[in-house]
Amino acid sequence: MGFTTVPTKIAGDVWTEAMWDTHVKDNFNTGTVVKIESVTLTVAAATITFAAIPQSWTHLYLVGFTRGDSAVAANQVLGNFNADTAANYDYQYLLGNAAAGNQGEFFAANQFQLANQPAGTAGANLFCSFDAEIGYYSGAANQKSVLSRWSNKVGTSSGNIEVGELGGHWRSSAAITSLTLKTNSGNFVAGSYVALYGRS
Amino acid sequence: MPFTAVPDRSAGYAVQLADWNYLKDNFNSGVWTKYASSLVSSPTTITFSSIPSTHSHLMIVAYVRGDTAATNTEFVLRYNGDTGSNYDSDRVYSNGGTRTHSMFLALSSQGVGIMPAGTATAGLFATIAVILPNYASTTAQKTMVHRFASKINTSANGMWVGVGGGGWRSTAAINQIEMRGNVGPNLAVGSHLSLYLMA
Repeated sequence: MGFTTVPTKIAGDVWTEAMWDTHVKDNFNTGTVVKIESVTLTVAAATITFAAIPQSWTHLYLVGFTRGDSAVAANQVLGNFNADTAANYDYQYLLGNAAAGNQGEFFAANQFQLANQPAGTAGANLFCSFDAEIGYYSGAANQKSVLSRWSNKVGTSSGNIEVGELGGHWRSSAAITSLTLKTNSGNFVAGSYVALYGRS
Repeated sequence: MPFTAVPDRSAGYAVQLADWNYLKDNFNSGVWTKYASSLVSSPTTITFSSIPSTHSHLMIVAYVRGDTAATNTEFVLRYNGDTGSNYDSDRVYSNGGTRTHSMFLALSSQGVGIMPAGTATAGLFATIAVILPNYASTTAQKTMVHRFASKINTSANGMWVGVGGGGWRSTAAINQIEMRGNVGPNLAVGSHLSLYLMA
């Protein structure tokens, strides 16, 4: 069901059940984009998990603002669906850093990659931004794919800024019911923020 | 009209006409809404018609696969039924260890990403996102940006990821979008496509 335009009412009109069901309930539940959950870390954490993701939406959309704490300039934001950490993920990346491009592929990984983020030795207060589309996450017939992009800055010297795209693929036809984010080393720092949205 | 914060009400407050207007104005012009979506149950192309000119931008999110007998094909759009040579696109993408930049001019449809097709491993679908800014303008030619992630198998060079843009050589407001394979042109069963109106 798509969104139903909300009509004009005049003084004296009475709220009816039909008005509520069509214009409030159905529009919220099946006609718009809503926030399912967001997490802001107040202390460093190794993982951020969205559990019990409702199956009532068509696609998922994820937005992140994160930084790691391991003693390197940058590390990776990684993900697992449904707590599956077996070798069931494949991903392809494309990135630009200063005047250079780079690309590569990984098969049978234990997680997919979403982004690169600044880490412990990056400039203070720098965080990455990333987002991801997860198409038809609730389908139970076909494998899942994830499309993410990121922007990462670790300093103000040449080569300290990069932008990239990632295509991740999970070798499972199960509906996605949970998403766990982690780094390839260390924790996410306090102040990291990730939000998960449902696209009707 | 942008979103208006909805005020607090006290216990016992009787809902007024102005309260309905918060609902009406915010829903109709203050938030993103779904215009249509389609889950393909038999191979077909998908067309979303009668798109209203009431919003700022359009967004398409597609989980798609073609059904032509090839490992992959291009997922393409056509606006307002225009099959003329009026579409241009530009893209950078990677496939395995290779990075490629391509440009296509004067095509009969708008390519927005590579998707697996009939001979790709079963169950594989691409995720593709497209934004069409200012789609309702009647004075400016239309542009779009697109991104895609696609996989056809688990062998080397079996995946693509890319980002690009393009344009439609028309100043007409977009009121119809056809979504199809460049070859085929049907989309496979299980494809799920959604069109959103961005306030």
